[in-house]
Amino acid sequence: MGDSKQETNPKVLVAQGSTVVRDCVIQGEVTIGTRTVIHPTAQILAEKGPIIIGEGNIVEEKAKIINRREEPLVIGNHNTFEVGCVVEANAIGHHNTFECLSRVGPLVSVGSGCTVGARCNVSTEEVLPDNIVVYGANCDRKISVDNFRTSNPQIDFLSKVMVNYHYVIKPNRTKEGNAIGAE
Amino acid sequence: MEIFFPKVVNYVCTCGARKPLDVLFYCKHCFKLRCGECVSHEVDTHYCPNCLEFMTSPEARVKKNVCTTCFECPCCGIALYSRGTSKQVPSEKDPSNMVVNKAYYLMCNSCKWSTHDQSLEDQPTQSGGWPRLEAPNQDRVHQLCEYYRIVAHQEKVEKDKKRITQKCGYYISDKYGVASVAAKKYMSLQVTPRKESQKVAAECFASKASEVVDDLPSDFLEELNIDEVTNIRMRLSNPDIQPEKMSMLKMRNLKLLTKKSQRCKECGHSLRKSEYNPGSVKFKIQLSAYYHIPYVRVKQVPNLIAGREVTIELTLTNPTSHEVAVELLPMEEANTPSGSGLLFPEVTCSPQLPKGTLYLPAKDDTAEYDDPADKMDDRNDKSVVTFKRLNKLGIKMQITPKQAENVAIGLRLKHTYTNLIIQGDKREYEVLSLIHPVLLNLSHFAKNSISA
Ligand SMILES: [Zn+2]
Ligand SMILES: [Zn+2]
Ligand SMILES: [Zn+2]
Ligand SMILES: [Zn+2]
Ligand SMILES: [Zn+2]
Repeated sequence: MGDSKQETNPKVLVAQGSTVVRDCVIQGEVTIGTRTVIHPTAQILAEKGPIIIGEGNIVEEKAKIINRREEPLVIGNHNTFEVGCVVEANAIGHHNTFECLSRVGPLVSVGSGCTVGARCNVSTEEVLPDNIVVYGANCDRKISVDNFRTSNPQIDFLSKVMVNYHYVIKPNRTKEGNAIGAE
Repeated sequence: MEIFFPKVVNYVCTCGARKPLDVLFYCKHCFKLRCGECVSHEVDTHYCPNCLEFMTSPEARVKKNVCTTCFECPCCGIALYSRGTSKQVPSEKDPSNMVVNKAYYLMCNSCKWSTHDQSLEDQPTQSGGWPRLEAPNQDRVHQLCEYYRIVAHQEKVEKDKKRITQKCGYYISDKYGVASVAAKKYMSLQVTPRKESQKVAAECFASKASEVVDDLPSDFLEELNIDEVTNIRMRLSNPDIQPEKMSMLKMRNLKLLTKKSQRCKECGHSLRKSEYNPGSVKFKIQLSAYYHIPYVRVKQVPNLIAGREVTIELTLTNPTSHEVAVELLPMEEANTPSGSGLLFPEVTCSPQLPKGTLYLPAKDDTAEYDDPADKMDDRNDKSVVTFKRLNKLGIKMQITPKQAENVAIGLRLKHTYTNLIIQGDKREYEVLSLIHPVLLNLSHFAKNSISA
């Protein structure tokens, strides 16, 4: 099933060094940067405009990234989309964490270094400033100082291990046969 | 446990409280229901909910009821966990050589508060080494405590002195050696508090009221960033520093929890005693009424209309390993001191209860895996019983509500209880008859209140 998927979706651009499992759902025009890991059952749905995912991101199982607008959704680097989160934001910066089952609405533009806590919901029309943590049952907010973490060791581990258990999408190459995104 | 009893069926405790069966105790020695409000609670152990270290009450008091190794988040109150970081630093012996230096800090999993927010240095070990929070008014509190301890001691001395001198008037001769006992007691009261505490208490001064108070913080009135100020919950949970800004928050030691045991006030027997080990969720003694008293549940209630007779269906379940004979008696017959029915003012409707005895088979844990070829018990009235499955019996009865809302029926559940008496090697069974008033609130089932 994975095999046919890659053929039918030529709009998917996967950079060298990324780990994109075939058992995930990728719809529409999607670009995936290097060192990004997409787990099985994750969904990246570019319904109208494209989704551009940067470097070093992790998209875990059942996470959903949706772009329903015409404009592209640009996701920065080193973001983590944890199990079951639904993110429809119109822009996402760097070093953000969307914890398990969190929800981000389509009118939100997420800055950098933010954390949307487990089961928290941000669905107003707003720009989530840098370093904001949304946490707890009441979706309280606060500023967190050291939020610029990277999950490099985890990405190293995943990209090494996942290929042993899953078919992965081969990275695209330029017309000359050079790898994309590995520069 | 609300799944079983969503506040529909309440048993009336011996003390008169209305409680669902699962929160009631059953004293095996008095044969009575007891609830949390009419038993005595005793603290067995104090323990830390994070590291599960446990200690006795005096030890916990010395440690001020907090765990010395665990800390809680000042924002949300949950336990902080340790995170490791490794940094490359020049070696002490040879500065040109780089060594990996492991350091640990604490962080809240929920709101990402960390010891860096409090600008604490990272620790070289995974646990411990963190400074204990010193309350700003600690010395004053200590002073007041010592002062009042001495006041309490003096008051006790005076009271006992009075009592002893009164008593001594009666004992003229020392025929029974009572006077010497009294004298000994009198001597023991002469023991004065320790020198140090006397010294501390001597420095105690009365607090003065001042007319000058601090101004309101200007940030609140001018430029307010809502993300930087604390909320009321954070302030109340840190009463000694009362932080206004997030940057003023300080982590505190995690508060201990207690394991409690319950005891019947009437006979003094234990009703529930948990195992000492805080990691265990098992009980050494667990006399929950749920395991001893047949439980009544409401199965079906049709739409209730004032003045119209309807049939409701209840189920009776026998949780014990002995057969139980149940009789449902009307509430009115209860010999209440204040006249019939007045004891249960919430009862608005009297049901036509089935007459005769219903027999509930014993609970058989293995039967669940067998083929449920359930035979009807011939002793049970077939016009009343709707179904039988293992130790559960469905029964029906008619009610005629006087109103459509707040329909509550009451009945007295009379049932047999098989009590095991062990005397030496002899094991004897004794069958007792117990009666518990049960209140059923049927308005939860009214059609319009159920959101389909
Ligand atoms: Zn008792
Ligand atoms: Zn009670
Ligand atoms: Zn602890
Ligand atoms: Zn916290
Ligand atoms: Zn007793």
